[in-house]
Amino acid sequence: MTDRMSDALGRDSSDSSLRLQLARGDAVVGSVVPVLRHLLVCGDQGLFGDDVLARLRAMLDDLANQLEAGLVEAGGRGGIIDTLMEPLPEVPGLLAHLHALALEWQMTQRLSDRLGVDPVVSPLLQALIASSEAETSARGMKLLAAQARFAQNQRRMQLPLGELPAELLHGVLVALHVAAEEDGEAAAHAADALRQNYDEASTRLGLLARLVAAMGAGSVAALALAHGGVAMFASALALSGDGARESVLLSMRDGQQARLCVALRAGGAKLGVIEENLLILHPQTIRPDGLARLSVERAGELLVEAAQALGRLP
Amino acid sequence: MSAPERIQVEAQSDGEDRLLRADEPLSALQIRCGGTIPGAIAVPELRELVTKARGFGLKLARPIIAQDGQETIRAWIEVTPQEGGCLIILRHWQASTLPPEPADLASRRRSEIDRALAELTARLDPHQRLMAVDALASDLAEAAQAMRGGLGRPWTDFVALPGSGTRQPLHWRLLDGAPVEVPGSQRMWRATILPQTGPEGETLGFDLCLTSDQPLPRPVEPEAESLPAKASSVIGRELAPVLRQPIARIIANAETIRTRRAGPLTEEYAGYAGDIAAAGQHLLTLIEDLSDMEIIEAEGFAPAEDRIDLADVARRAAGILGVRAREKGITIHAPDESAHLPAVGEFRRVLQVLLNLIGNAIRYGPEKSAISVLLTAGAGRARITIADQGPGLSPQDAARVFDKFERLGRSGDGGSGLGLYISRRLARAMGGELSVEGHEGQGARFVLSLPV
Repeated sequence: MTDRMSDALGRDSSDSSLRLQLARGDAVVGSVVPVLRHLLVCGDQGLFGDDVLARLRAMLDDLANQLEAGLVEAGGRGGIIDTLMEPLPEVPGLLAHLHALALEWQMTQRLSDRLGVDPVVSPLLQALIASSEAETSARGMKLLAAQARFAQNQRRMQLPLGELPAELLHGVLVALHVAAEEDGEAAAHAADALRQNYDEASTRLGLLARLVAAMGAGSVAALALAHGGVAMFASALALSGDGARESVLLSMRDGQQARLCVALRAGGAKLGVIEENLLILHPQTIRPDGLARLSVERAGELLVEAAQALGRLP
Repeated sequence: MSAPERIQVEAQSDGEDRLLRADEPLSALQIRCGGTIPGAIAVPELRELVTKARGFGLKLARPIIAQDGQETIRAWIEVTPQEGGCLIILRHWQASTLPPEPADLASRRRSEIDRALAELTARLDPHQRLMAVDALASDLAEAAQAMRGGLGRPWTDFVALPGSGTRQPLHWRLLDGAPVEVPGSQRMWRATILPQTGPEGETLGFDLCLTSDQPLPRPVEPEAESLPAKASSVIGRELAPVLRQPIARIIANAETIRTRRAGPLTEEYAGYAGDIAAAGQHLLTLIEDLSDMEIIEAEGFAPAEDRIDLADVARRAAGILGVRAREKGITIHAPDESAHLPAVGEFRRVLQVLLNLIGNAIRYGPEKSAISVLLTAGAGRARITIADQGPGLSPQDAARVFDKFERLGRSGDGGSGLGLYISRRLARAMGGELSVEGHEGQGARFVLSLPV
């Protein structure tokens, strides 16, 4: 889809706008069937549920609002929220990230309702905060604060710009430049200010990754969902594999049991822990065949083979 | 980030993502990945992160997983873009041995690599007779010509197989991987024979690939930048690369013991491990200094004549050594951000000199003292003065301090006795001068002057 669109954009001629619209229309038409198929066949309606979509929209809106506020503060005119809503969803990876955050929050709430796991302080985080090592404890406290902010923001369906991963913040700032074309100077000032204040290490995701990285081999403890909580579980599992937290969160949904099991096994989780996780996420389903005999090494190979089949790896 | 970390590795990159400086064990990884210091960042994962941080102008912090062929390294990285480069901080360095590759994958990869790198490829029939030949390198043209003239004959007729007396082509498995001499080429070659198997498992023929570990010697071009290092350095080019890795390993392992990462240990043994690490570090510095000295003493050594801002270089040097200074409670008074002092010299060489001078001041200055970095200009010269509050130098010492291997009777403090000698040679090579002032008991003042 994007290829076709950039093709249309690339050729410089008078009918390029028409071509762009055609390409956009084609993209929409092309995605009708996959979306319908998913909605009809897949049991898990949560993936595109109304609450998830509403949350996504609200977060996008919130980002646009913050960008506009920054622009006005830098002396710009503002009134660009509607204009911003066009380039924002086109920022590569942004929608996937917001979607994953919405799912994360949904699962965090579910875990809290079903098992009473605190959305902010999971048992593992509590243990880390109680650690005798001052460094670990201090880092745990920072994460607690960040996770509390995340919970609060999700309840309000908001997302601070400074919490985005660096690539996405960069993309969003580029979108600001596109939208505030007439206010170029103010946009540049606003973007500069945002860049200056950004520190990925102090974002919630940065703190999570740091804490997991610091645990070294001990991070396998976070792979028990009820113990680690959704946030640490997702970060730990992502770091044990290829690092994409978004796809980990997707793999926690219905129909993805096999991937989740294999990824957990490759990350070194014990079979008992994997079954426990399955029971929490999918109480009705039985565990996938062959799991009992799956070694950690073989699980890693399986993941590589699957990625190769998709053409993601050579 | 408020609590200090036990093991923290720092590095600095410039505006083109070259590593200007790196602590162990990152510097060793950079070299194992085929890079140099200073030189382009050779660890792909790190390079990606640094490029991103610099391009976005954003402070990045994330874990990376890198490999050097023997080990998987996991580390937490923080990259802070600064003016004209990035400050890189690594924490939680963990190395684990790579799992062995499945045998079939390894052999498949090997044949892929051999095919890709082959400078002569030939198609052979089932009896290893030549059917087609293709050569890329100019020193193989002669042999390829002869082979094309002799299609239908065994390929072994056209090359020499050292250590193999028989004329007949041996079984292909015996020839696979054999060293080969090719007429007309000075290089040593290796034959790779890849069988083509038919549906019934029968051999249809072979692909022959000749690869060499040595590149074709290039016609000598007077290249300005590669001149100095290549002159005839024994230590820099031959000894240093071989020594760096084992020493880095000694240091890393000693550090592991010292910090008791592998388990509890009595205080004394941790102390000994600390001594081992310090001695290793010293050895490494000595090697760096020796190879630097060789480069500087080589004929034709000419530093670049860049327009630099001496104040900026001084600020960077002070920033780089800030951690070490703070450990001793020493304050460095660097020029503030508004100060500028243009000069002409090679950026990294000037930085090297300043790092040496400030490093000495930290090493020999008393705890909780101050180091001042002062800028002055006049008479077509830009001057920078590093003043410490240490014991100072007697007139006799001041006369000797720039001599090669001069330690002024000191030992056991990690110095090689080459730093000041190298610094003065560098200053003079850039058309400047490095001198020392001050009297015994009043602290030492080293003055670097450069043309403007």
